[in-house]
Amino acid sequence: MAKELLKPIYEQIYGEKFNAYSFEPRMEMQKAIYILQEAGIRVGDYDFLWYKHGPYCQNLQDDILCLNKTSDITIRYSEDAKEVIERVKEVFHMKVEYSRSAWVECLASLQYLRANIFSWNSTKEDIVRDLMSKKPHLDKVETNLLALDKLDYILG
Amino acid sequence: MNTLLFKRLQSIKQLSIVNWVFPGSEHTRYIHSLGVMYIADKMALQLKLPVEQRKVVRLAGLLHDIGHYPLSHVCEYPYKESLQDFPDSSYCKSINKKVKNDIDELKERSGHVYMKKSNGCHHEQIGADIVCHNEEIRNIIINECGENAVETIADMIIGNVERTNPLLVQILHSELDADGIDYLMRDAMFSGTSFGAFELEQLIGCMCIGNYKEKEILCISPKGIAAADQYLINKFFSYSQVVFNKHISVTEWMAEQIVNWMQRNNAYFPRSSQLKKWVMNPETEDRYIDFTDNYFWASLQNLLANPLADTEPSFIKYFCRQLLHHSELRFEDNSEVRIVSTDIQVIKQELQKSNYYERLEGWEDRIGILNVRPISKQVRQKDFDKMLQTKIEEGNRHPNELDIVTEEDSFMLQARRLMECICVKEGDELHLLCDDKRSMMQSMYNLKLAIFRTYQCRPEHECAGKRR
Repeated sequence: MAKELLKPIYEQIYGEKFNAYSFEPRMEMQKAIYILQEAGIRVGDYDFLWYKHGPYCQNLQDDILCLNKTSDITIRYSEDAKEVIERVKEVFHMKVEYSRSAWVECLASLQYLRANIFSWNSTKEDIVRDLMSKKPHLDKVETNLLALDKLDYILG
Repeated sequence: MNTLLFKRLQSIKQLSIVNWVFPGSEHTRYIHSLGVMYIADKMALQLKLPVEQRKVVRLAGLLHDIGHYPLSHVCEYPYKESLQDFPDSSYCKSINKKVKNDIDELKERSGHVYMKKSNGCHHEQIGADIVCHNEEIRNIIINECGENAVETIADMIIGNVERTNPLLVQILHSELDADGIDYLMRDAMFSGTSFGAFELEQLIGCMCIGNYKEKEILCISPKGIAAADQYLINKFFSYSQVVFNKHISVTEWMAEQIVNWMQRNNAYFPRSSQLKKWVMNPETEDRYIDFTDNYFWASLQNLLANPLADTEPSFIKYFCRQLLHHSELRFEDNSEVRIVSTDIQVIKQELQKSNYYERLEGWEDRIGILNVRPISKQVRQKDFDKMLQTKIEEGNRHPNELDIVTEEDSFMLQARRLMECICVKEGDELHLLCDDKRSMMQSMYNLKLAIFRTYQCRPEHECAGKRR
């Protein structure tokens, strides 16, 4: 039943219909679900690991690839979910130096690194440096540092 | 142990309301935490860990459940399922639709992710938050074990193997962890069942450290295979006979629904964001200390006694009254379908053949409850390799897309599989029980239990006219 929730969540966050045939929406879906779960809003039995290209969930990918065939449903969000989704939307749609998909990838990747890999007393610069070594296309230092601040806002 | 946060566990029963059916099950999370500390320490001694690490392991065992909710896992449910609001007026239909969907979507384990880390409002993440942010607990840890131990203990509690020595994490988070060993023995002893009897000394005495691509793996030597088999089988029985007992299943379900409604409506039970604040903020620590089984029962009484608010659905008040009177929803005679099989399709077909399954979605006054439990999460090496290879080949067909599984990723995934499941070490070679001809898991690793039952959701006198 979790996969029925994915398309409406995507539309709620990104304001457009989801298309599973294209790579960028799939990637944006992955990162959105990851960030929601980090903020305490669990969508389904999706567990993320850092694969070569960042936080990723294979079960979610399998569900995403069937989405074009599923019918639309309406979600009655809990109050907690509504608040988190509003914050996610606000941050995801910020005007920054990255494209939307790169910005979302930046946010999710930084969150994964700081929650799982880096020690609590690591500096923001350490985390950003590691991100840039793993993902050279995310090379805007100031934008990456901004992303860390915005993650604190999303996660409350 | 003298901190109020730890003493709080004396007011949280290990098995919630199981004592209504097994009257001896009065033990608390407090005594279980002491037990886990003891078992974890035995494991640390067996593995010959240095004294500094042994201290960390003991503290992690002691603190592993410090974030537990009232009634243990019962009150945790709505905090984990936090996306959707409480079902609307077609309550039974919503519940039953989900149960039917769960049955229809039963399938073999297709994922390849092991050693999942807890997050969000999972009690383990709450525990890690306490360890990292509560000044009193942090200072004790730092005084005993040094500053780095705080994060190590937090990672051991939530199961994070990426930042902390994975061997330490496996002592509290794996098929062979100290938590499971203690609760199997303790729950059986207090509930008066025999499932907790297994060769504990043999199992721990055979523990050793293996190595996979420079990652330390908690293993057993071949002499421990029989004890490991016995342990897994006994755990399976304890779920079948105690946890999934028909009275316990429904009373816990009722309590979950009440807490779900209260939490969604910010009535007595805090919303997730509020609970996190209670935990992280020293000014509200007292509120979290009071968040115990007593809090749950007091909330039920408050809900019934409050004359001003009549916003609760009538069945929520009905559930409250039932629980306060130690009663439960009436079980529908002959509705139980219980299957044990290694073939998930057989389980699914048996459930779908049931008359009660067919009528599920149409019911407005009855609910279905489905319980499913596998004996282990083990997957054979050849099947796991095949699953990974398929994913890698899919990725190779689209090399420019980044949402793929690569060869590098496969080492990481293989290591996690060995970390989570009981692993046998022979020389330098490691393999799981399911790949060992000397183990019963070779043929039983895929065994699953499924139980489906239905219950009347309304008072008896209201149901009399509606029975079919």
